[in-house]
Amino acid sequence: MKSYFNKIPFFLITITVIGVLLRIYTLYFLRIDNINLAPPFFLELINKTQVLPPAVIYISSLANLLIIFWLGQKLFGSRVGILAAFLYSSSPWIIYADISGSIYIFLLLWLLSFFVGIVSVQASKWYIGMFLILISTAFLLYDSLLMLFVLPALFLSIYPYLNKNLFRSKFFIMSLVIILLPLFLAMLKNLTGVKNILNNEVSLFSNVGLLNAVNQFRGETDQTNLAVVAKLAENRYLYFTKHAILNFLKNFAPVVYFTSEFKLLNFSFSPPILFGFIIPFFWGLRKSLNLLKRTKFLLLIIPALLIPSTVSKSAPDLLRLIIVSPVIFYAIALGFEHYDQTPKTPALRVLFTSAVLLVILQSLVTVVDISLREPVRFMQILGK
Amino acid sequence: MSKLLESRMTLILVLLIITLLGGILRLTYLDKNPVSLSVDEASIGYNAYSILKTGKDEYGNFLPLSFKSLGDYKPPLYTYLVAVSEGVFGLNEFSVRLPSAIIGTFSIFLSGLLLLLLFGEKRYAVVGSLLVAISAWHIHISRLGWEYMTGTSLVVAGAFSLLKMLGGKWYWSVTAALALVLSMYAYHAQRLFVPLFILSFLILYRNQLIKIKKQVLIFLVLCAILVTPLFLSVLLGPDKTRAQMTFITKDVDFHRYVAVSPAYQPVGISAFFGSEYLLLFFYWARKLLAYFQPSFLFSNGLLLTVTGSYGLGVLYLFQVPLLIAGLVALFKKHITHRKLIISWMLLGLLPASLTINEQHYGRSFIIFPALIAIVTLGTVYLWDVISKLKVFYRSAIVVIFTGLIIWNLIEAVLIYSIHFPRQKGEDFMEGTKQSVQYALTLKDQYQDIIFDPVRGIDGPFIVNAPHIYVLFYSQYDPAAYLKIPKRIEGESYGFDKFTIRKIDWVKDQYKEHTLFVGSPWSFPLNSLSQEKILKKIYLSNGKLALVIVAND
Repeated sequence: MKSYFNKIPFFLITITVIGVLLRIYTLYFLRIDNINLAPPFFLELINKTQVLPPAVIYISSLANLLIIFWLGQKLFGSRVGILAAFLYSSSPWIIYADISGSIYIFLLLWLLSFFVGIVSVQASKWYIGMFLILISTAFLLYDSLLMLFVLPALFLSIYPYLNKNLFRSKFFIMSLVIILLPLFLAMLKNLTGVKNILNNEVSLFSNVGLLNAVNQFRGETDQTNLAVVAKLAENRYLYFTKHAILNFLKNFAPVVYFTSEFKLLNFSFSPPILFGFIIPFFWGLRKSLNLLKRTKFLLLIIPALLIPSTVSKSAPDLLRLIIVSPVIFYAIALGFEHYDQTPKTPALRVLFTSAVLLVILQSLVTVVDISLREPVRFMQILGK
Repeated sequence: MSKLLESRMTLILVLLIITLLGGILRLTYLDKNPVSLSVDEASIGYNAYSILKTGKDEYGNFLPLSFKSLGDYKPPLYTYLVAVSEGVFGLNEFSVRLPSAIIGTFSIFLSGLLLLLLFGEKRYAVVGSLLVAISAWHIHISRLGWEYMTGTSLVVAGAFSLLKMLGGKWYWSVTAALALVLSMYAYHAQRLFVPLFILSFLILYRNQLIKIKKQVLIFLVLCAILVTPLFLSVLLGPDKTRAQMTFITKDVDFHRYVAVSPAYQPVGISAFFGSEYLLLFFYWARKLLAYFQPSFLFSNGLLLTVTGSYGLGVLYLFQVPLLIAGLVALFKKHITHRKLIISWMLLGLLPASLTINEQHYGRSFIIFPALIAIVTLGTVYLWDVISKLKVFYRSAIVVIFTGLIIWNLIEAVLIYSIHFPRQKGEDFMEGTKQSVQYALTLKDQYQDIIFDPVRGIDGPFIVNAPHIYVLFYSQYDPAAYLKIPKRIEGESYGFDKFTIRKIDWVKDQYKEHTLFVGSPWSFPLNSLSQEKILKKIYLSNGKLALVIVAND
């Protein structure tokens, strides 16, 4: 078995072909192509409405697959890399995002490149690392306003583990300033535009229903003799803090990723990741607690990657969560890897066998469903 | 704390004090909050009254094992407990809710004992029972005159006895069988959960059970004997109607959004993989996992406030880190009964996830003991971690956390005492009691009293069952009710002077010597003569709920 995994190019090509075929199949039955295409932040800022060409999204997705493999291989070994890449290429989540032209596929490419840069710097491949960090920072910030929050948070979360020479390098700092200068100038020139885009992207607090509810609560308590206590416990700042915390927590619910509770593109019954993978996912998580030295890095970056979905009005936002998808794929792959390495009790054997059977069953159900009922569901949503 | 709890008597004393505190939270204003008796509570109340007076339910069935009630075939145990309560306190709101509140209070103590057995240290018992005592989920369920609390508390008693049975004493086999099988007579969800729970217990503890074969045999034989009447009732009686009514296959969302008409007629293998049954399986998986959503767990799982706002979840927000720590500890530490807790959690969600509703705080209440065990584990684990920190950090964490707890508890008090009655009065048919009592005072002056069963502030969407409130609040003699002829025509139901049917004012305005009780949607209030309107009944939030109109 192990000898097969040494044939990495063979596996990568097979995974890519499977991914391409699944995308063509989905596209044939579902006319969801390019429905999510949007202009990058910088273009919006200078009042241009050009969207990213679909080809860019497809190429980014292919590059993502390769980088997910490469990073997985570097961090946890080739088998984890291959499995994670396979999960990326075959999960309905990524397939739907690719076809619909989600910019988050493109952003994921640069986030992954950013991490490749970090890994290279840590491995003392100084120039390539610095180049990758610079170029990915530039692409991320020019493409999405939200990355202005994500990137600093990412830097902060991995700062203790970073090679500090990076920030002592005048070349790095100067290049960063030069690259980002046009963006900041454009932002200064069009502050109203920035505000509008910010309001669109950060819609966490624009929930009118919640605001009305807070007012209703206050109105009700004002009629009682507990009005003073209510002022302390029921003010809008506390409610909005609670709202933000809950929005953040929602992203951690397994139901988001392994079922269709939050419909892909608002209509689909296909789960972002097949339900059966939940068992290796939890097994991987459990094991990653014992492997903190190797997995700490991955666990630390999660909160930063969840910012875009958290600030969305409709959190959890599956498209925005795409940037966290590799972490989940690695966890699942780690689960399989550790299952293979640990002594198997009968219970564990049953659990993993059912997981695999479930995955096979749901793959077939999903493939048939894409042709059979997904077009009808899509039409239903269009009709609305 | 460990030193303080060294003696068994001290532990029992501490648990009793916590139970007393919990009792106050469960028994205070029991008849006033929830603001009114729900239809189910009123039905349980009158059927219990009927059992008390005649030995028969409202349909004349002698000591039934399943109460037809409002056509939903309620499990019997709680109704019989209410009959006892009504024997002492009479037919009123307090009597209907009292058994649940008392059992809820007692289960605080019992949960402490169970946690002591599960984790083997007294501090777990104290922390756990305190968490149960202040739990909004537990308090709310305790204050409802429904079956959930009885069913779950009996499972707690059963699990405690099962673990004790491992010690080899035969009488624990008897209590385990009694408690677990009785829980199946208490609530529907237990009928699926308990057999699976027993099975998982037998598998998980097989090595220990093999040494106490006699006790296991006593337990199994007793279970089989006790469950037989219920088994026959479910198999041969009408109980299965209830299961059919609420089973997941009837889920509206599934048919509307998932099992839509296919784009083409599948044949061969695609007909198999495209079948609705396979989709239903994955739809069920989604419903199961949905119980772990933060919105259910921490924000509005108890449905005490209007949709879209924040209310109370089944856990408090301050319990987020405790739950996470509990899960980490559960897998990281050596916990003897870990597999039992996990299987309790997963099997407990099975009945709730197989039914039609979205996350249902009542049907899923069976997982409460397992969930609280995890949170308790997390609390003790976190405390151990924090106590190793430097004094400054430890103090800072304790101060912040205490602040969070105080905020959450104040918020819970405000929601339960102020917002819940105002925002959810209609769900508990607020106003029906006043309307019935008012109509009863005028009973002798009119030939007919007509109640419209449909009401609602936003539209006539809520179906009420006024006849059960009439029976309840008039304390109608059950023997007389069984004998009196009933008038059933189409959707109209009548007895004595009372008729339950939709009010059609175009025709009914000419009906003389009649009293009408309906919602504002039943009458043309703007054109109606003010003299005819005898009374307007408002909800706690000030909105008009019911109108009483007289045609002399």
